[in-house]
Amino acid sequence: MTSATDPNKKPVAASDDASGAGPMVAVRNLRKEFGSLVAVEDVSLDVNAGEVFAIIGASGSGKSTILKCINFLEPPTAGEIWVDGRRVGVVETGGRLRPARASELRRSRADIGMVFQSFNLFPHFTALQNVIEAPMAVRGLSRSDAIGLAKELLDRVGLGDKFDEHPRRLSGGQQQRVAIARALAMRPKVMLMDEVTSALDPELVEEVLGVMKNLARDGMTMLVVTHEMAFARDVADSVVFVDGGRVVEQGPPSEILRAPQEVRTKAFLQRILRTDG
Amino acid sequence: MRTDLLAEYWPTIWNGFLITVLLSFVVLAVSTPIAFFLALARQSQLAVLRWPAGIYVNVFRALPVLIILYFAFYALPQFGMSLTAFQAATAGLVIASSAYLAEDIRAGLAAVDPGQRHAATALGIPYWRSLRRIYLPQAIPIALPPYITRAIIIVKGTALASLVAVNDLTAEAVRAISITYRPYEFLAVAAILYLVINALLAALQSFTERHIALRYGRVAAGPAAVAQ
Ligand SMILES: Nc1ncnc2c1ncn2[C@@H]1O[C@H](COP(=O)(O)OP(=O)(O)OP(=O)(O)O)[C@@H](O)[C@H]1O
Ligand SMILES: [Mg+2]
Repeated sequence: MTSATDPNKKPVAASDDASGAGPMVAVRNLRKEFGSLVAVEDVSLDVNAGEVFAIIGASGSGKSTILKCINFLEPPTAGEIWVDGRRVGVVETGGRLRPARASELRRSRADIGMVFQSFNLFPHFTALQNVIEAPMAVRGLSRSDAIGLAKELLDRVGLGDKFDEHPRRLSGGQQQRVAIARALAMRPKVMLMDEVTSALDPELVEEVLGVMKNLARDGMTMLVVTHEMAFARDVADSVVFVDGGRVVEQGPPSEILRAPQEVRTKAFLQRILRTDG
Repeated sequence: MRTDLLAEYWPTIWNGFLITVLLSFVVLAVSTPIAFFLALARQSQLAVLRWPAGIYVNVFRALPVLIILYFAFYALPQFGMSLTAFQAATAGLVIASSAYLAEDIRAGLAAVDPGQRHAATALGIPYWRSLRRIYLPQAIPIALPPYITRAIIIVKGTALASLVAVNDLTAEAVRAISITYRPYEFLAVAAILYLVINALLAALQSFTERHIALRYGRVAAGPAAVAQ
């Protein structure tokens, strides 16, 4: 890990004002290597509470790896991850830094919701069982409390009539909404969403984007890897374009999507708008 | 067919059969948990677990079971460990069987979509709970058919115990033959009794498969099939 003088102090955002509130998610000089391949290099991001942060970029540019490093699904090679002012994956004891223990990592992860491209629902569980499992296992909720919470969340994503269905009986869009409810059931501080509509048939994309828009309106902090440029334009507060594992350009969607400065950003946007038709 | 000879030797044959059943049961009951932990160790992030487990599995699958049995029966006393014939046979068969079963169980665990692990990990669910609630219910239906196939091979393999002085079904049949010179009768009876054990195992397989299918549905298909 790189130097960190006071690891339990909130990181100061570049754009931090005098109020003293740090970003909800801060990524500092993140680097991730897979063997000799450098998948992510010197990436720093600040996501403020309630912000929707879109990550765009070509296939293989390192978008998923950035998200996976934030909850240590992939431990970073170097750099710092901070969520709500707490360092993820590294703990300070007696003035020294050490890697977090499994139990400490689980506590951090419980606050970070993640939704995957391929849903990854537990196929032997019903929709309701998918949602109650983690709150019971990790948050120690009683079964009846967990069920109450799960029904409320499934209702919220429009699946109030699908509690007892197994994933294989649900459409892709419905499965993805269950997966969102499952992540929300942990009451996360931030949601990481990795191309959550890419595996869906076109006619099912809107129902999932709709749920994401509602979440954004309700003030959820979100990091969203997406190829849905309309979503990024309408919903995101900030857009970052990554290429070759590096941040090329970052700013509000009005700047990045409408008037990109970098050649690579322009080329990417042209390509994606052409394929979107 | 000399049924009178069969009747005369039936008590010892039956005894041998019971010993074969007992040996098979003990070997499977001891090997299965060992194999399970070997399979977990082989998947571990920790090299200190992964390496020894890998060496164990690959070495003992590469050796003839008979060599392992002879080692347990003849060589261990050289180191001051004296086992009864049954104990030596059990030890030798467990060592070999657990190595094979570990691979069957590992294959079942490896067949579970890695996305399941990503989801469980991202939710912060502890490893052992994920294993019990999420991975095993999906891995068991996959691992069960090869597991039972292997169990049948292991039951047949217990016949090797007759070579280290265990009075199992094969040993008793061979003894009866050597006295009566009626190989046809006694080999047929021994074969039928082995078939009985393995038919029961095959029936257990189809029963559990049906039970699991009812309980979990067609789990192996999973959500990945829908996703891509
Ligand atoms: N577990 C891994 N082992 C080795 N290489 C990996 C691993 N995961 C990702 N990579 C490599 O790291 C690079 C970045 O991958 P990543 O999945 O982050 O890209 P991405 O931007 O999400 O792409 P996509 O749009 O296709 O999902 C790629 O070159 C990929 O092959
Ligand atoms: Mg990706």
